Formats: sequence, structure tokens, C-alpha cells
Amino acid sequence: MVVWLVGEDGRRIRAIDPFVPTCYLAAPPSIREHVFRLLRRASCRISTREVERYELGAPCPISVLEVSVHAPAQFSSLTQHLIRACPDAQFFHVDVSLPQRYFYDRELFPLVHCEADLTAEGRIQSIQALESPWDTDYGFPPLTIMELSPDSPSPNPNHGGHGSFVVRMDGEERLLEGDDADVIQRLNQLLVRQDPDILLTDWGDSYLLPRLMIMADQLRMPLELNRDPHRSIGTRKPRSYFSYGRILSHAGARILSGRLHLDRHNSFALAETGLAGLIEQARIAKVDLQQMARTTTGTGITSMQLETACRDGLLIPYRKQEPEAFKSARELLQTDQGGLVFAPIVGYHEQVGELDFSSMYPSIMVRFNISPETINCPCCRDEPAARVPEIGHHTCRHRQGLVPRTLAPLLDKRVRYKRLMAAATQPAARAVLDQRQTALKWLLVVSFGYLGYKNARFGRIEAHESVTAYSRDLLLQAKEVAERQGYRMLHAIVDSLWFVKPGAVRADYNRLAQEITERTGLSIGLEGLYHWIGFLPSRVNPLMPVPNQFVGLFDHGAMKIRGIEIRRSDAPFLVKRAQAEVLRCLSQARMLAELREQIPQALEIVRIYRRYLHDGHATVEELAITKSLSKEPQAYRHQTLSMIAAQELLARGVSLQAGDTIHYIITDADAAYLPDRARAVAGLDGTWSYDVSAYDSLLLKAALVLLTPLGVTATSLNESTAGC
Amino acid sequence: MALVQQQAIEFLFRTEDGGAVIDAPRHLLAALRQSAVSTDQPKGLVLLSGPPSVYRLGLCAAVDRALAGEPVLYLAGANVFDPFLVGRLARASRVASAQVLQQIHVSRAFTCHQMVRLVTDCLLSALRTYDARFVILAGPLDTLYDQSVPEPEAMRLFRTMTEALQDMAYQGVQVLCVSPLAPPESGGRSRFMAALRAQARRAIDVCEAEDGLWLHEEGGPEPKRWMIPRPLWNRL
Repeated sequence: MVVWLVGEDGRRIRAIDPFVPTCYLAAPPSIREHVFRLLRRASCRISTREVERYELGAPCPISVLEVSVHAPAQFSSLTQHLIRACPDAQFFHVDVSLPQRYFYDRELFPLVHCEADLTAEGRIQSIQALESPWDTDYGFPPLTIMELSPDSPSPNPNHGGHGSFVVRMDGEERLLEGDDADVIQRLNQLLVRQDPDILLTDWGDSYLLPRLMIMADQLRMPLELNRDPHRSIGTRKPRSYFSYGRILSHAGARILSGRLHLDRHNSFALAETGLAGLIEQARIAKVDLQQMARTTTGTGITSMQLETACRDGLLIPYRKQEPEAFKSARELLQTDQGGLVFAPIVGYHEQVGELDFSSMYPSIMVRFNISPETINCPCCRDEPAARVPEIGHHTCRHRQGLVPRTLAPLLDKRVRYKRLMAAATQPAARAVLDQRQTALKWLLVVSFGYLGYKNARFGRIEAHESVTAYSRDLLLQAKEVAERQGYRMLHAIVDSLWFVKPGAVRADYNRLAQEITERTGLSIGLEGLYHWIGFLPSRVNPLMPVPNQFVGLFDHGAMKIRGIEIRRSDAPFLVKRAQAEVLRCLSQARMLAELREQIPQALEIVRIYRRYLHDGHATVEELAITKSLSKEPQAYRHQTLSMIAAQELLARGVSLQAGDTIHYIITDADAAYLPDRARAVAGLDGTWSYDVSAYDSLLLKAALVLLTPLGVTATSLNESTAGC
Repeated sequence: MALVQQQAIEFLFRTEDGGAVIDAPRHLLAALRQSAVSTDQPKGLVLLSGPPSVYRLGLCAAVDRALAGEPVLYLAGANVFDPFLVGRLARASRVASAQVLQQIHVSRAFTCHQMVRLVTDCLLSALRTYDARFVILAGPLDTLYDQSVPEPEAMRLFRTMTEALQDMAYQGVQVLCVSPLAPPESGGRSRFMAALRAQARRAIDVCEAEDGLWLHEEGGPEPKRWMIPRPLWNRL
């Protein structure tokens, strides 16, 4: 295993650790004989021994053959060969990435502060961590960063608008211009001279590095992106995948050796949690940083579970095979219900308190011991306390499950970060702590989804169902406690509840939270007290409530906004800005009566924006609509605006896949010639104009959703803000 | 058991020229019994393939059997089991939803390995437990199209699964396999459908047209063709 170390003297050292990965297989003697014959033909040293190991939840161990591969580089091909040759054998530990296995085995993690003994040739004699991944007060490692970006006006350089390259390091910015040879030569000089530890790019995976590699290849020039001269640049193809009901695209990957390549436009973790959050996730998940940056958060939580399994000596199955137990369709209807939602009471309300259960689902998993092997265990079938509310499952009362064992320290660490944040006085330190706790929040969020995810190694649908059954019960308990004290529930959604009670102040809501915590055994806190909050109606039917669509003004002046244009990625910036201004205007009010007094000013804002649109002043940046392709471009049947823009891009040779994001302007929504209806932003020249009516309609909708509950109708809004 | 009495769900199967092809069916569920899942014929594998709407046909078949008081095993390979449709069909038959829902026993497989394990290791004991003779396999190929499973492995799993299904057919179990057509990106795996068809005692193709859903069966003494009118289908 190649391990890169930063010495105390600042030297970057390439070290080799003689790591021997193992896998296990269970098979009858005849198949084992075949395995031995295959192993004797292997081109590297292999050792085997008979051992006994447990499968997750099994009462007795099974006898398995442990196969140790003394050349890690051959581990994957060898195990795949065995799997193909022996389809009737059961394999374990074969498809866990080797860097992760190395971290588990050596009790290390990415960017760990460690102590290592090396030979003169750089061979690691011993290596041990000097810190724990559960520490909260670790420092940022002394890594140097070089930034590389395209100098392109296009929102996505893959869609057109190719330009030169911009390099930033130590506060200096350089533009790499000239012909291709000049660019490669200058970049190589900078890389060798500055020798950065991290190459932080914009569009590096999909555009910059592929383009540089093609340029260097065509010129037959070296490209010094890798620090490790023994390795080539690792590549992974782009792909589309489903996540939480949406199709997303992954731009592939360009992985460097001896240096970290992080692409700001191809990393959920980096975008959501910043570099501090990404490092936090990599440390506790024990997934190397380049992988963690590009993978789903679920891979992180899976890695934590795999480590728990390895530590406990459990076998990690090659593919999840255990299907759901048969249940009647009636039982299925009862068990497979998800979280509980009480539709909101539409309209604006004042003096409302919001209470949120803290990390509700993972807390349920820990508190009620929900894990694949603890659900419907044989030992607790008759214990009433083990019964999951409403549904027929039960959980084990005797042995803590793998999932709770994995999640408990994660929940604890997040609580510690939150306490540190509350005590932090420096904004920079507070920001880092916030990024780290957000990183943990995401791991906790996906831990629930992964219980039911098809490819989750330790998932089981009955465990997933049990979590939601408990959550429904707990939400009802919270409601009961509050209503018994005279509170009225306005809205509840899974783990959040909104209450109102005339005259109740912060201390009353805190007391309520305390009582609910005592009753349910799960921590619930006061998210905030609102001067006013508006639960906004359906745009189709103004009488219909819509869960999780609201705007509220907290008593500390901040606003909480969900489900409207300002939060949506597909709304044009102009519409978002107009909606933000209307909200700012409304936020001047502290009470409902004052809110109504703000209506004339809000209408004036809308009028000004409409005038701006009609006068033709809006810019591309203000009008661009961003949409994600929900399927492959060829699979669309209807000529939607997104499809028209996608077809324009395809015609220009741009490669698109499901989940890709495209940007377009509505040019003439009703044009008979379909390509005239919308234009891709990347292809815009000086010959375009926008469809005033289409954008005007979007603007009015964004205003109306806020103002309808205050008595403004579509007609009155249109008439009172026309004035053009 | 109760038959559908509501006018809305009554229809006749018609040939292309409008004539009735099969005498007996006077409503959708009974029609399906006659076409896709005939009870008076030898047991074996029946394949119903076409657009994703075949899943709804499969559920109709399950409800039809459950209405007759027969236990049904429903193996859902694409998480397509819709208990609300079952409820609607039960109510249309003036039978309590709960009664019908209780007769259908469901297990969901989210990966091809789970699906194969379900068919090879769990199905026989479930047939005994519930005293069932009728199995619906909904979307068995969907899980095999998963690109994260190497094609040779998917092929091996497919063979294992179909061998187990054939064994079951020989033992007198009736299996209705409901499968949409292979997606364009399925590559070599698109052969699974042809292989499944070759093993089926009856293969019924479903296609959607403006006027309704057409069911077409080759083989036998003469090809058969039935139609479910669009207004009726849309109400399901």
C-alpha cells in the first residue's frame, strides 16, 4: 500500500506499507479443492487457513477459508476470478476498497496525525495514529492548495464557451494563455515549482483535466499533475444514478496519486460542508479524501458500518441476498408508511413555536436498537417492550445491533460540536465547527435511507419500516403532550412540529420541549419562536395546504423559508430576487395586522420588477433557468423547454446524460418553430431576446404564493402591479 | 366469489374487427383469468410482457385469485406492488379491501441476488406456509438489468432463477411472470426476455394503443388477441 506522509520537517514522503488484504469463502470441499487449484496458479504469494467467523446476526460461527493476498494490487482481479470460477461459493470481504481495509486494519484514517518508523527505502516498519477520529479539537493539516479554473463565461464550460485557464496559489492569480504547448509547459512549471498537496478545481473532472490530458497527449508532452511518478492518472467514466427519487449525474473522476484532486463542481460533500466538512467525513468514515469528495454520503456511512463489522470479526457478504420476509399485503400497507405529516393550516399565524426532534431517525435507531440483525430476533419475540408500535415487528432487547453501535458515537460527536459552536467566540472557528457538524448531519441523514437502500450492505427493509413506525408514534406523543397543555398544532412533518398558544413565550416552549423529551426519551428542542409564519397554499387550489411550504420570521430577525422559488434551483435569479425583496418588505412587520399593512409596499416591488422586465433590461444571468435532465435526452417524448435547450446543445456536439444540469432562457414560449421557444445559455450570442410574458408570469406566481393568504388574488395582483 | 357488478368495470374482449373472442369474460378480472392466468389449463409458467402497465395487469390477476379465496404469493422485483390498486379492485367487487389484502402475500426483492434467493430458497416454503399454488413474479428481470452487477453474474443468476421456476412448474405451481420490456441500455441482458419467453408455456404480449390495451398471444392452435378499452383501463 502506498502511503503519503508529511514529515515534521515538511518533506512529502512516499512510503510503502506491506499490507496483506484477506477475503473469505464458504463452500463445500469439492469447491474448495477447485479454489486451491486456482490459487496455486496465481502469480503472487497467497496464503490460506481455515477459520471460524460469524455472519451478522448468526447464532453460530461458520467455517470459512481465509485467503490472504500478499500483492494488494492483484487482490481485486484475483477475487473476481474466484467469484466467476466458483459461483456456488459464498464470498466475504471481497469488494471493500483496499484503502478502506487498510485504514480499518491499521486503525488509521485520512489526514491522521501519526507516528511512523520507516526504513531508508521508505518501507513502513510501524505506524500508529496519535489522535482519534472522534476527537473534536484536531487541527487542519499543513497542506498547500493550488486552484485551477476555466476562464469561461459559460455556467458550464462543457456546454461551450471554451477559454483559457486560471491558476491561483498563495493569493496570486495567473492566466495561462497562448497555444496548447505554452499552457501545458507553464502549468507543468507551476506544478513542479509549487508542488501543491491539493489541486482544487472548478470542472476539473469533466472538463479541465480531460482537456489538459488530451492537449498533452496530442503534443506528446508530459503532464505533471501526479506527484507520484509511478502512477498514471486514475479515471472513472461519467454516470447517472438515482438518489432520493431524483436522477443525478456524476461527472466521472480524475484521481491523482500523491496529490489530492478535488473538483468543486463534482462534490456534494465539498459543496455542502466545505473542505472542513469533507475532511471530517473522510476521517470518521475512513474513506480516502478524493473518493469521499466524489462519492455519495451513503458510502461514508456504509464504510463506518463495514469498519464496525471488521472490528467485531464479522463477515462482510459479497452481495446482499437476504430478501424481505413474506407479509400479507395488509401488513405491507400498515408497515410501509413513512413519516407522519399533518397538513398545515393555511395562512399566516403569529407567535408560533417550532419544535424539532434532534437527529430523530438515527436517534430512534440507537435508542430502540434498530439494526438488520436485531429486527425480529428469535430471543425477544414475546417481550412486550420489544414490540415496534403499530406494526408486527420487534427489536432485540439483549444485544446491541451493528447500526446502533456505529451511529451512537456519531450522534455524540455532533452534540459535542454543537456545544463547541455555541461556546465559540471567533467566527472563523465557529464556521469550521459548523461545517464539521453539518458533515456529520449528512451522514446521520443518510443512515436512515441506507437501512432500506437496495445496495446497503447492512440494510433491511423491516428495520427501515420500524424506524418510521417509531417516528409516527413519537410524533403523536409529542402532539398529545402539547395539546394537553393547551397548545394548538398548526403543522407537523416527520420530526418537526409547529405549535401556537396565546400568550406563550420562549420559556413556555422550552418547558414544553423538556416535557416532550421526558415523555418520548428523544431529545427535542425549540428551533425558534416566530413573530409570524405563513403556511402557503397550493398554487393550483388556494384552499389546499402544502406540507413544508412556508415562510416565517423568527423573533431574532432571521427568516426560515421552505418550498418557494427563493429556495428552488430552477427559478430564474430575477424571480428569486423579487421574491426576496417582497419577503424583506414583509419582514418589517411583527404582527399579522402589520403584515397586512405591508401589502401596498410589496405590490410596489412587484410593479417595479415587472416594469424592469417589460423594458427589456433583464440580463442573461437574471433570466437563466437551471434544470436537471430527468432522463437521457433521447428518451424525452415531449418538446419541453429543457428538451429544446438540450437538443440545441446536443446539436453542437455537447455530450449530455440523465441528471446533467442545463441552463436556458425562454425566448418565445409559444413559438410555432420549437427551437425558437428556448435557447441554451452556453450558445447565446447577441441575437436573442427574452419572452417578457413568460417571465412576467413566473414573477407573478412567485409573489402570489406569498400574498394569497393575505387576501391578494391573481387578478388584483396583476391589475395593481401592471402600471407599465 | 363476488364478481364485479359495477358498470364501469364491465367490458367485453373484442377482436380487431369488434367481435367477441372469448365468451365468458364480462369484466376485467374474469377476462384476465381467461386470457393470462387461465385456471383450467395445465400448470406452468405464463409470461405477460410489454409496457410497464403489465404490472397493473399482474395485480389484477392477483386480486382475481384472491377474490376467489385463493392465497397468492406476489414477488415484487421492482417495488411495484400497489396495495391501493388492490383495494380499489376489491371495493369494485364489493368485497372488503382488508379481506383481499390478507390473501396476497408479498415479498419485495431490491437486488437480483435477493430475487434469486427468494425464488430458489424461500418460495417453496412460502407456498407450503400459505397453502398457495399461484405465484406472481413481478419484474424479475428488472433487478437483473442493474449495471452494477457484471453481465456474466447476471446471466448465471438468471439461469439459476429460471431453473427453479421450471422445477416449480413441474410440481404443479402456476407462475405468472409479469415483465416489462428490456430498457434500451440493457445491452446483452435484453436476451433474458427471449430466454424467459422460450421457457414459458404461454407468452402474452401487451401493447398500448390509443383505443386501449391489446393482449396478443402466439402459439397454440391459432393466435389470440384481446383488447381492454382505454376508458376502462384508465379507471384502474
